[in-house]
Amino acid sequence: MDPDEDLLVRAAREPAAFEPLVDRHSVALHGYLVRRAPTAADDLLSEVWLQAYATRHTYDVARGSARGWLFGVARNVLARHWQTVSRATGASQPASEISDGDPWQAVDQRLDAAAMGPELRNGLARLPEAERELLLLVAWEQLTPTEAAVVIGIPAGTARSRLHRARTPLRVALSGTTLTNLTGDFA
Amino acid sequence: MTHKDQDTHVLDFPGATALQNAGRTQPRDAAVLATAHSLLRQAIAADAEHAVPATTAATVVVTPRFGRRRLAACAAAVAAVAAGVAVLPVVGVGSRPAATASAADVFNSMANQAAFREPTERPVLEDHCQNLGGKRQDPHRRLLPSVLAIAPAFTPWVKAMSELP
Repeated sequence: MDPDEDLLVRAAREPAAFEPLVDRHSVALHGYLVRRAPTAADDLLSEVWLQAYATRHTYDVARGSARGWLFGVARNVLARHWQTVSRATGASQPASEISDGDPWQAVDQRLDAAAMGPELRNGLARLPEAERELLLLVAWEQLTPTEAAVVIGIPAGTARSRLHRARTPLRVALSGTTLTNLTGDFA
Repeated sequence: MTHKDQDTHVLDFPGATALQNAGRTQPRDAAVLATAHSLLRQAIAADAEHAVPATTAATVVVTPRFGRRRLAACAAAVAAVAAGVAVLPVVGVGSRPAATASAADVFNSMANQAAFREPTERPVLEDHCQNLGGKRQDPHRRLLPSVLAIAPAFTPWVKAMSELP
């Protein structure tokens, strides 16, 4: 099996080499989109693949894995989606509820629906947006800190230090707290 | 500790498992993936339509950015500057005395000063003009007339070179 990076590099010359990537990464990308924009995820998935195909020549294997790059494309598509939603609903909703490019509102609703422990939910809500996004990329998308750094476009070392900063207050807030160990699927 | 070791400890806080479980999603509908595939194939096909086959591609003619005339003029200019640099230290200008040093001596002296003198005692060029002229002179006032005096000697040659076919 060709590694994803080889396929993506080859796809710049041979467009057909791009297709296997769709089978390999659609589940993960769709999950990423569903967790942040549940109602628009299906449409956004197609948009992500079209965008990734159109910009495939910008992928640089030296800058990280193909998986990280694809999630970076998905992040950009999602940010544009939220900006559109924000502009469309901005007149009727307070700015604090939907901010440009930050799907925290959807994530928060998801945690709420999952009966997440209030300490954990509040702990996440108090994190700076950049640290929270990194933590969720690692926890939910199962990316390594290095891949998460590629998604956001920051150096890997910066991502690690931000993750460390994000964990510290969560440890303090949640130490000694009994959390319900949630199981099962949540749409 | 390596980066990989650090990566395994990213989620070592209470509630990490609950957080991961909260991120689980239902399997997507197969139609979603089919739609993505279909749109992508259309995009690939559209690319293929617009691509020009290699066998029928027009030959690309690379036009040199510089013609022979311009190249000759540039070469003449470079030669004139080089000759000026070599001649300048040993030719007297007007009423000013000719220097006694050769071009090699000038450059060696400048290199030595750059290497061994204190930074506060530079600029080298100004010191050198003082040494050659016997008295301190403004280096700009000394260099400009020299260049102007040498330039006419090269004018016919530059003109002839620029008129080459």
